[in-house]
This record gives sequence, structure tokens and C-alpha cells, in this order.
Amino acid sequence: MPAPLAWLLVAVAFLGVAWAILTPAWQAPDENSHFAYVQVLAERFDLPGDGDHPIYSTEQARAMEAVNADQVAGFPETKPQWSEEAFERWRASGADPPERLRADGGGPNPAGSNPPLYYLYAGLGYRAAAGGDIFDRLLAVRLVGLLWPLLVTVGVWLLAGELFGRDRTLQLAAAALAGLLPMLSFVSASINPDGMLYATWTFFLWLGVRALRRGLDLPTAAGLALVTGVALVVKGTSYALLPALALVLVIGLWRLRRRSTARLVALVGSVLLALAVTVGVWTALARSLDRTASGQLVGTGSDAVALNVKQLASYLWQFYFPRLPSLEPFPLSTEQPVYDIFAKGVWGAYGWLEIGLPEPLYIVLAVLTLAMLGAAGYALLRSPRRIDLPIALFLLLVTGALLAGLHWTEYHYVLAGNVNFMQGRYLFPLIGLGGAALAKALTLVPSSRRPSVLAGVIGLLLALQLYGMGLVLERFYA
Amino acid sequence: MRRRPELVLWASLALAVVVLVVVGLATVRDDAFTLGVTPGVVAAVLYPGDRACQELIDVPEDFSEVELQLGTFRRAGAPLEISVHDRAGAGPVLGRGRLPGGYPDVSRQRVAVGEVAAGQRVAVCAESVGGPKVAIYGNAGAAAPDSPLRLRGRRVNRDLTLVFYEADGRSLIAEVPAMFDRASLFRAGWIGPWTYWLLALAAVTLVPFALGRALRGLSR
Repeated sequence: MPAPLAWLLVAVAFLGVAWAILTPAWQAPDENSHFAYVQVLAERFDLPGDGDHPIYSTEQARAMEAVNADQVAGFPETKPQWSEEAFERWRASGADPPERLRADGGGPNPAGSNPPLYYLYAGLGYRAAAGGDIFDRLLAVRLVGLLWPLLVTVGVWLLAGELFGRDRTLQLAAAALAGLLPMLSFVSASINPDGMLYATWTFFLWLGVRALRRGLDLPTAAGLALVTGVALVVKGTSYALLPALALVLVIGLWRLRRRSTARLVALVGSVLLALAVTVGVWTALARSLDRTASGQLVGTGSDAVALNVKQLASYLWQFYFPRLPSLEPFPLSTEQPVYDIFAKGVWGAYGWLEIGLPEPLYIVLAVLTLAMLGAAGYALLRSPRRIDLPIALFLLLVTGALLAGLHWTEYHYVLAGNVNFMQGRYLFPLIGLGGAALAKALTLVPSSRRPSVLAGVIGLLLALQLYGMGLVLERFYA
Repeated sequence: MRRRPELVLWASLALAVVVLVVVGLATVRDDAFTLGVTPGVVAAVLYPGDRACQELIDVPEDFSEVELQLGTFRRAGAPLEISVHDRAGAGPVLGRGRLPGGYPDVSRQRVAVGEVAAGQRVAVCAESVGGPKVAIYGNAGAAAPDSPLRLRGRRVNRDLTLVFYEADGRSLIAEVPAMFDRASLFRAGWIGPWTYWLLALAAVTLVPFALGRALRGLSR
């Protein structure tokens, strides 16, 4: 392994451990539901959704009550329980419940529509700490999840290698942005399938670019399909990968059209096999259990609202730009969604999103982000002949499909009377592209100065990590 | 100049740490602890002579002021007598204070009650001493399950939103040891305050060292 990557992984791992230890139990987005899913799977080898059971086990409900998790979630003015007397009372009465009180959850769960692969993996951590109390098990589940930001970092390094060649500075720049982005560390260090989702998407991007650049060979085709299949069994969001997978396969097979039929059959067979052993198995299993394979796409069920193209376009405009006087106001949760949700959510919204950075810092970071994207675009357009069109199309398709899925969901979600669907972290499956943009922007700097500029960027990310941890500590314990 | 990127990294980090320390010294907080109840509903309505007591509140830190969120039904707020008792509303008085009338609707009001020491369980009582009715905000009784609320002597399934303050503010930096102590409860069994000290030390030494080595590896 190249030394810069190895040392970067050391830092990423440490920061992940720090976030996993620092974040109070169930004070990350939906961590209560995800933990309940892990617990019922690890204790009973069952999926949540049984209406005869409560969502949380008695053990989890008592622990959440003892630490005041529900009252604290999302409300900065309330604090978790930190009285030693209360802690001792919990230890005396609730820390070591009978096994049946660990396993009596499994009722309808907001996370229950997610496929089970992440939760099965997380269950390994749970089982490894089965002899401890609920907080031991919760930390163990968080810690095993730290594999994913490490894989994200490796995946972005490899992606940058495909895009820019074997340039260690550019690879380190791309991988460092992914591995050291504080919000990505925070989310990945909590109990949440998103960390695994980011890893699978990052490897999908790498393998897709590799297939288009080097040609579709059997290992790459099988790997790409396997990663897609795994991503589909992690979260339904990953259906957005299918158009890009199809594009890579069509282009790859077209380029191989003069090769032997046996080779083409082997390639197609490997793709089908990889999909069959992942999403195929889960789909069959879900049907046998009378479950949906993944959460139904909002707006496609019986509650679907009739599509109004003009209204959809108006919503999209109002998400990204100030509303024009001619547009009917769309009931979004904020005046400037692209800034309030995407920019702030990507750069730091900890806890249940209630812990933010100071407004001026958000503005500076948003400007830096725009400058980086602008510089990357300029660097790209400076030499348009060197743009690989199939790769550009592939990356645009992945990006467009994710955004289209998110906006389609939010549009219907809001029309159904809900608020607050969109989150900045939903963009993190594309973190590989963010890293690539930073690396591309760095190409505008003379080669001799790139390491120093990169050091400044890494210093900024590290400073934001420390600041983010300080904010979390202050919010919960000051 | 092979080490220049590392110097830039360490300089960035040093700057960040200095800024964090300065901000930590400049940020002075006087909040001691909360009952941990969000102000979601009206938990009690007091008419003149009524008394609401939130009992069996754990006191993990010394405090000298209590804050409540009050509603006045669009009139000037009525005066309240706030008292702190040992364990229950009928217990010996540990502190007392008065909130003058005239405060606005749906506002947070702090009342000085005298020094109350940590390490005991107390009741905080609010009594209307005249004027129009007053609403005290809080939440359902499950919000603070170990701490019952009594209204006019009868237990009700609600809890009050209460925030407790110290007499003197402390800088965030001065509060770090206490924060580490608090953050070590309700955690994996092996975690103690030492874990956070170690993490903080490693965050400003091990992590930049590793990243510095990553940058140094570029020149090979």
C-alpha cells in the first residue's frame, strides 16, 4: 500500500474512533431506529416490522429513558442525563436485564424498509460485545462500522488513480477530502447504513471509470455488478446506480463486440451471477417473507400525487435558486434549501442536525466549495479534448440519477404534507466526485507547490474535525 | 523544503488549536444542568394560590438560579414564588426566590433561589401569589420518569421544563474536566474521563503526525 494512503488511513481510523466514543448514545440521525433493527436481528435473527412488538426492546427503551435520549434529540436546550446517582440507579436496575428484555423489540420501525445487509454486518459488532451492557454493544456496533470510511478513502484513492493516473499528490488530495470530511466521519461513526452505502457507491464509481478507461474485463464487470448488488441490499437509494451500470455494460460490450461470443457470454453471466447472489437472493427472501425488497419509492404507491410537471420544475428551481415572482411558493422547509440543506449539511450538522457551525463559517466554506468546483470546471474545460466522454457521461449519470431520485422523493414527500426529507449527507455517496473535483482543482497549482496547498486543505479539514467534536462536547455536556 | 507541507499542516493545526482555546476561554457559560424536558406542551396552569412541584430532581452540579418557560395568556405575567425543597414539595426548604409580575407571554424567566449544593435530590416548586393564571411549559410525564410532578398536591402525568444555573459563569475551557466526567456516564464500561483526555491528546499529536507522514510520503 502506498505510504501516503496508509498514513491517511491511520488518521481516518483514529478520527472515526474519536467520533464513535464522543457522540452520546442515540444522538445521531435515526440511530435509535437503526440500533433497534440491529438488536432484533442479532438477538432473534428476525427483521423488524412485527406489529405485536414495540419498536424498541425493553432494554433499549429503559436505557434511552435513563439517558434522556428522546428529550435531547434535536433540542439543544436539553441535555442528556449526567447525574451519577441516576447512572447508578440505571446500573442497579436496568444494566443487565434478562435476555428476553433484549429481544422483545422488533415492531414497526422507520428503518425497517431498509434491506438487512448493513444490519447483518453491524450485528457482528453487537454479538462480539454480547456480554456487555447495552452501551458496550452500541459502541461495538459503531466501531465495526468504521470499516466503511476506510473503504471510502481507499475507493476515492483508486478512483483518483483512474482519473488522473498514478499521481500520489492528486490521489491523496481526493482521498483526504473523503476521509477527513468531518460530517462524513460523524455519520460513518454512528449506527447507520449510510457509511456502507458511501463505500459501495465509491467503489462503483471507481470500477465504472476503470471499465470505461481500460475496457470491460471479467473481474471488473463482476466487481461492478457485485458492488451494485451489495449497494442495493444496503439501501434503496442505490437503484439510482442501475442506469450507470447499464451504460458501462452497453459501452463495454459494444467495444468487445468483435471478441469471441464465449467471452461476452462469460462477462454477461458474471454480471448476472453477481446481481443474483446479492439483490436476487434478498428479493427472493423478501418475497418469501412477504416483505418489500426495499422501501417503495415515494410517489409510486397508492398515495401518489398526480405529477404536475410545471410544479415539479418550480420546486426544483426553488430548491437551487431564489424564487421568481412568477412562481407559486413551494412549501420547502427553508428559504435557501441548496445552502441550508446541502452546504450546511455537508459541512457540519451534528447530533440530530441541531448542532451547527457559526453562520459566517458556513458562508466561508460554501464559498470555498464553489471556488473548488469552479476551479475544477475551469481545469477540465481548459483541455476539452482530454475529457473522456463515456466517463463524463457515466459520472453525470450517477450524479443525475441520485439527485433525480432525491428530488423526486422530496417533491412527493412534501406534497404529502411532510417536511424535512432532504439531508446534506444524502450527497455523500458522491464523495468520490467531490474528492476528484478537489484533485482537479489542484492541477491549476504548479506541481512543486501542490503538496503545500494540499497540506493547507488537510489542515483545514483537521481543524474542522476538532471544532466539530468540540461543538458536540459543548452541546451535550457543557 | 521537503518538509514544507508538514510545516504548513502543523502551522494550520496550531492556529486552529489557538483559535479553539481563545474561543473556549472567551465563551463563558453559567448553565449548571437541566431536567432534560423540552418545552413541548403546557404542563401546569397555576391560578392564584396554586402550587406545582417537580420532585426528586437529581442535582449533579451546584446551582443558584432556576429557569422556567412561562405563558401568560397574552397578559402581563403574574408573580410567582419559587422554592427548592429537599426531595419533595413537603420537604425542608433549601432555597427560595420570587419572580416579579409583568413578564411577557411565552418567555423564559430565571429566578435566583440561593445556593443549592450538588449531590442531593430536590423538588422545585412554583406557586402563584396573585394575578392572572400562568402556564408552565414542559412535556409528558415520560420526559423525566424519575421525577414526578405534583399540581395542587396531586401527581400529574407531566414534567416541567427546568434549567438550573450557577451563580458564577465558567469558561468552556475551565469546564472541560467536568464535561469529560459527564461524557463518561452511560457509555461502554471501559470508558472513563481518561479516555477523552487521551483522545484529545492524540487528536492534536497522533493525527497530525500521521497526516504529516502522508504528506512526506509524496516526496519519495
